[in-house]
Amino acid sequence: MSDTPLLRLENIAKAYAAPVLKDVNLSLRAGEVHALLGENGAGKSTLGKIMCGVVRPDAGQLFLQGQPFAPTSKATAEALGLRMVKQELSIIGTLSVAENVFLPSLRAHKRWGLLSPKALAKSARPFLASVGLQDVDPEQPAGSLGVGQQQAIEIASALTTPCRLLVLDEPTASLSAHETEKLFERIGALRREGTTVVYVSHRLEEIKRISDRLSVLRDGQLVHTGPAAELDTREAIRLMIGRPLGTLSARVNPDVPREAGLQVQALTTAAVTDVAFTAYKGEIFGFAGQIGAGRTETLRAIFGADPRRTGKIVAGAQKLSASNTTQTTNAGLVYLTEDRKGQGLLLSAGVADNMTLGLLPKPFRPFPWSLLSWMSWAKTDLSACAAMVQRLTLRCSDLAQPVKQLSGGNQQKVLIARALLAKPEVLMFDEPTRGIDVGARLEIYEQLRALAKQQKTVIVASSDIHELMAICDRIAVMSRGRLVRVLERADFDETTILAAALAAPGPAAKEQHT
Amino acid sequence: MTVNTLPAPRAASLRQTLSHDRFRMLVVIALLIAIFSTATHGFLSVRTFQAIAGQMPALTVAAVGMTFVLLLGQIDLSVGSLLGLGGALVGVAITQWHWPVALAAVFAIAVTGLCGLLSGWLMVQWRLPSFIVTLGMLEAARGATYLVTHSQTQYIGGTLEAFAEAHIAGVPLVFVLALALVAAASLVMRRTVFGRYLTATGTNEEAVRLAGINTRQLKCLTFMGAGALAGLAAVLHTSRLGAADPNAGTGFELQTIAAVVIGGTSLMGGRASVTGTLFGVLIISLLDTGLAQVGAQEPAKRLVTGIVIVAAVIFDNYRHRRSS
Repeated sequence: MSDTPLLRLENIAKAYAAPVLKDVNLSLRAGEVHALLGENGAGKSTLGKIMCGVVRPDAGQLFLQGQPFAPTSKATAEALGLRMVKQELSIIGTLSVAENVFLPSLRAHKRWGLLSPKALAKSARPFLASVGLQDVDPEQPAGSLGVGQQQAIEIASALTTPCRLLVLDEPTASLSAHETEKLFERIGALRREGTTVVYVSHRLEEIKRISDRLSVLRDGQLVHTGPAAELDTREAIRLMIGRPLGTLSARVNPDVPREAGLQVQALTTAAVTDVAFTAYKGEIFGFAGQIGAGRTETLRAIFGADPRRTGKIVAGAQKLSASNTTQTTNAGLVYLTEDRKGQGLLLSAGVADNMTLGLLPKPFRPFPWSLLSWMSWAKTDLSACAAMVQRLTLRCSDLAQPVKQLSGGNQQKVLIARALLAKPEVLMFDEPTRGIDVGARLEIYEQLRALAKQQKTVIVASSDIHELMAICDRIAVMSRGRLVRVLERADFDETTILAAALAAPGPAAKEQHT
Repeated sequence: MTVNTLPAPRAASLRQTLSHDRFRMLVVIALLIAIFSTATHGFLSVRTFQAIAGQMPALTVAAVGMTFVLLLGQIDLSVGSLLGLGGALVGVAITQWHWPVALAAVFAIAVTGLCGLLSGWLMVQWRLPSFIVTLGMLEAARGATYLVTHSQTQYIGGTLEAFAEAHIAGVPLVFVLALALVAAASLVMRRTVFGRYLTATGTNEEAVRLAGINTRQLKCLTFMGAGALAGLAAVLHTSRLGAADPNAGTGFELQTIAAVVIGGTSLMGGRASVTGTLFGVLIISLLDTGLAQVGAQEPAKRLVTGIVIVAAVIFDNYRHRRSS
């Protein structure tokens, strides 16, 4: 292996509306795992995209093995073995898993001029196995898989042809612990084969585990590059956010008398079976479990977004009868989706319009009477939005900026602001910190705590067990559509939670409190 | 206060871009007028503008309804047939049942509104695409029109024509009504709860549903409104001709969609403008009248109109891709 770096970036600069990258110099060695660390909007994703020809820099040069290199398109960079797996999934749900794996090169898989599903599936199997999807049927539609598995398909797809540089943008954001392990194994294998891996992440523990070197970006500038092992966590966070970090405060007083905020009994839908629990006012109630265990489905069914077969749901004193989001929101529930772009944001609309989406009156009466509320004037409370921007330290140029221009973390803050502005009693957050950096993450935890302190009922579903253990008062563990266990804070233990999540569910867990 | 560092230019910037769009359309309209008045002597005359003012209201009214449907990202193919049905009901109610004009008009609007509501309900209840449901309604309503009129044109005569011929300060009353409707609809779209949720639903329906809004009712109301406005267009159309032709409004749905799209409304939903639609109607009417006056026959007129529609959408796409 020569000393010439695989890819050298010199004085790279890029600006969209505002500068995103300023004068970045970086060398990637052949066969190293190089982590890119930084807050939301620090420029990590843009830098990764420049490496793979997805985005062209405004200034600066790239050198591929010492040769000047100016990819004119994603395709030219891919032909040279430079690839990126983006944070946003580009899986086509209606095509089969195998077709998605080979999507860029389907033409190469023709037999007698036609595509053979069987042959395609056979060729796809080894690649699927390499990302931990050996149990997935390559002929089933990719859309029937969960987000984590879909992302694994994308990684498998990037590895189908020889790859010199693989940029993974937040690869573990939607993976379960088991899938993450599989991914790390694959990254290790790639490194042994001499592939350079650029690993964009917020998760410091992961980065220290798998990377050789790391670079820290702050506000578009490269502030640090060095061996990953030598940087301790506190120092890394200080580099990322430019100031030392406070610690998480102790949890909310556990000894207040409990009053039920949300009671769920015998909830059964197409995806979950006989789920029962009570979440109390003033607590943070967590939902753990593997991807596909039914966390999201449980929250959606409670919220009335999906139809339910049986189940009794009582919020405060009000029984929620139908599968109807208007009734549940008027009863004081909010649900923050895990799919921020697909089901949460109005991407082309501004920050204020997104925040106030649920604020206008929600007509719930039958038709002729509902006209009164439909036809009332819509007022946008801009000062409330501005206050939210301050409270959540949301970075946007103004309240009219389209949210599609914001980074993932700031987009999430817009959705959290929407939830808070509705002044709900029961808040259900599905993956509230997915794709969010450490600084913003802690801010969001503080918001959740503050809500619990105000005697709200806060429910958090997350695939990050550490997150749940840090912020929750109790954790419900789901496995294969059933709620198998509810743990008190004193019993929190990673192994216990994982074991429960992986266990074949026995009889439904009994309610631990009456 | 730091709040002041975050001004709220939302309304202002929106108004700016709007005036920008409208300005470009005014340029197109001025160009059309310039071309036609150099090509023919009599184009710049009161008679021409009365012809346009007489022709515009029916199209304007139906196109306003269509603007709301397209804002949702849906389509309504039934407005032409509903125009036929509404006209037939007005004609039959006046000539055969001897109802008063006002009652006949209200009846026709109510029936077409219910037809729209039925389309909307079928869509949300069975999760059907609006294209299919309203295609069905297009056929069914035309069939109903033939049944009601026994396929005969209903000559109504004086009572209804008085309405079409009424003028306020030299401007046809129906034209004033259409303008008032445009103003009201624009307010509804921009300033009411209904309009804001409609815009949001056209952008991301699931997000709106998860925010607790009854998008089913929103859709039903929109299609009911479009149906009722097709009925109102039928009343205006019938009153202008003094007769209800069972074939009236054939192809009218496409003309309506063309006017809305020329006006800058996106077929993908989430972006629409009622005033833009008014300009779209004006452009279509100008083309129609102008081409007739330069002596163009029907085939040439349709050829030119087709080109204008596609050119308008290409221009609109180009501009919006560049701005985003």
